[in-house]
Amino acid sequence: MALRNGDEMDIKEISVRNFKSLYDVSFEPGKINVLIGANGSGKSSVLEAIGILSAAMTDRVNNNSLQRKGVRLSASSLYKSQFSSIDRSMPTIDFAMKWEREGNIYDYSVHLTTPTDDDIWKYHSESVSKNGEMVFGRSNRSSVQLNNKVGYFALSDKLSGKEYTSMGDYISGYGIYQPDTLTLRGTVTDPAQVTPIGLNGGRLADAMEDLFSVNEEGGLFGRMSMEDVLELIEWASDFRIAKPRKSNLNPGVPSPRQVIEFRDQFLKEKASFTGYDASEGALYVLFMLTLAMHPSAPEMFAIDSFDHALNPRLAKRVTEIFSQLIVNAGKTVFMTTHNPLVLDGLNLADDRIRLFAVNRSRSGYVQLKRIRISDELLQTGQSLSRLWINGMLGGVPELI
Amino acid sequence: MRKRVGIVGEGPTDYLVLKSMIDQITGDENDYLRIQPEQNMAGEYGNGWKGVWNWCETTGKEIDRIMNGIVPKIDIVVIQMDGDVSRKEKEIHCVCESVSCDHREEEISPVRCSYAKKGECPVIIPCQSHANTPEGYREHISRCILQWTGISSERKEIILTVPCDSTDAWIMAAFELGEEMESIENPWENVISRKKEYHGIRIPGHKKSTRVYQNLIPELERQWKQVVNLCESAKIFERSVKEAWND
Repeated sequence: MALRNGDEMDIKEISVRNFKSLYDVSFEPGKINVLIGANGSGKSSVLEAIGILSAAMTDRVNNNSLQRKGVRLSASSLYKSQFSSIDRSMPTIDFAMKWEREGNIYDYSVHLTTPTDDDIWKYHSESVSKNGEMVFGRSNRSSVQLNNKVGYFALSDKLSGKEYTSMGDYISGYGIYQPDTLTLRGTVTDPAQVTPIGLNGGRLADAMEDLFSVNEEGGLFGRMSMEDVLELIEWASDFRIAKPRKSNLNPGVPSPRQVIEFRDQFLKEKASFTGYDASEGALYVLFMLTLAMHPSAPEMFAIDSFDHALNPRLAKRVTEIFSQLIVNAGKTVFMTTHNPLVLDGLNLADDRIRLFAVNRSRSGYVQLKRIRISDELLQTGQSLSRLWINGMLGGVPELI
Repeated sequence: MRKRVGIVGEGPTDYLVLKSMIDQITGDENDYLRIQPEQNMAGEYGNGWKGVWNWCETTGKEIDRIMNGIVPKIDIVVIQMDGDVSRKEKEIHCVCESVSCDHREEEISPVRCSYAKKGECPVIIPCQSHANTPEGYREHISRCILQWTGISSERKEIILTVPCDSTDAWIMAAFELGEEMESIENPWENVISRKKEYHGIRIPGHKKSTRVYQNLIPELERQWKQVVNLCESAKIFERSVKEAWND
């Protein structure tokens, strides 16, 4: 499927300085980017840094914009790196991104100061360049004073061409998805509801409804046949979107306007039930597929703990399918996992699918290293999961 | 020059000591991977000297493909086993010349030998095939590791280290001056953790923990020259590291 804006967008590099444990980190993402690392290694901070970059570039940075993207709100002083090894604290937190479009290389760079009396991050400087030549730039020292509370990537006349707006569109919807079971079941309101699915999985049924269609070969869910989707939910013989009724949902359960209704292949035909009673694994699978295929889903997003609630084998299969859907759609996804089998679902021979190990340096700084495996090594029968568990890739607790 | 180092060691405290010492010797902050074998369903062979042995026999034979097959490349592999294994463990003497065993032909790795588990191992310790000294232990264990992995002793990027009696001896030598430090058996129990504190560092429950080691290591780093003078195994380790980094 082509991108909805018709552009092929390749993010070449993302750089972060002085943000939480990311004192000085740069990496070159692909389309699927899987981050592995010990608990507390800084994986979620990487996802959050991209969230702030996205907010800074396409909007403004404040509590509201960060919450919409799933970035945890911290005390202002804790946004900056606080390592004991740093003698002189830097005044700003810096983000930069390089991307390629139609053979041209673009750079966006922003230096932000953290809030003091309110929740507003201020733009200390901001610049955009094309093939090394500055197209737009501003700083506190500029003679022309601009509003330092909003980003100018989306406002400046110099950046009104499609070559810039297409990138803004591409990353503006970035959010960190962290589905949770109660929200997916529809019994809890999503505190971060965005269109088409909330960051915690809110209104999944509504989003799914848009993906059902029929062709000459049968029912489709997005770009997948219903048969292929049902292979991932072994116990189900069918699923659809329906209104909650007494026959499929206990009246004592709070429910949304629409629910996912399942049929179990082992139960009688009339015994349908909703996502409230279904296995959570099924809901997570449908959430991932909907996010990957919904026409209004963001072009770039993150999923924290991709493997949550999935059996290892299912996690591997979902990873394979999800990766392919994302790569084919030209989207960019960052995801974290602690499940070794997720790695076995990655085709690292495809350069667009990338694995990164997140570790801490001796001083505690986050280090992000792309891991690549030679064909020769893969042919020895070693699996990525085994290499990871044995410690060959990094991204594991050192002392356990 | 900064390198990526894989450490196959008996446990987390050994890993902490080795990575600190390598940084100390090379004067650089290197990248480290703590390589561990998978344990079996009984929870065996994942750690300790059996874990190192298991890794050597299973993964060690593929070491070149692993070192070259992952990017970033693993530049150096350090394999550590304490000298006390030769002093205490019968299985490691299974194939020694002086040992006569009817089951040797059954082609079971000695580390998985069921007769040893049942207490039916005919090995007598101290083994007559080696000198019952730190030098003898080092020579014996190093030879075993080379045999298990099939690695040539000429390989500078694969460092074998056999601290005697254990890496605890290096810690002890950082805090104390004395003769024949490597001949003191079980320095952790007999010296370092005998009291609640060791040179002002608390040792809760006399337990060998990574927290305690993190407090002991700064002195090891400061006194490394003294440790090298007192412990031949530390001197050999330092020489091997320097050779590998200069290679």
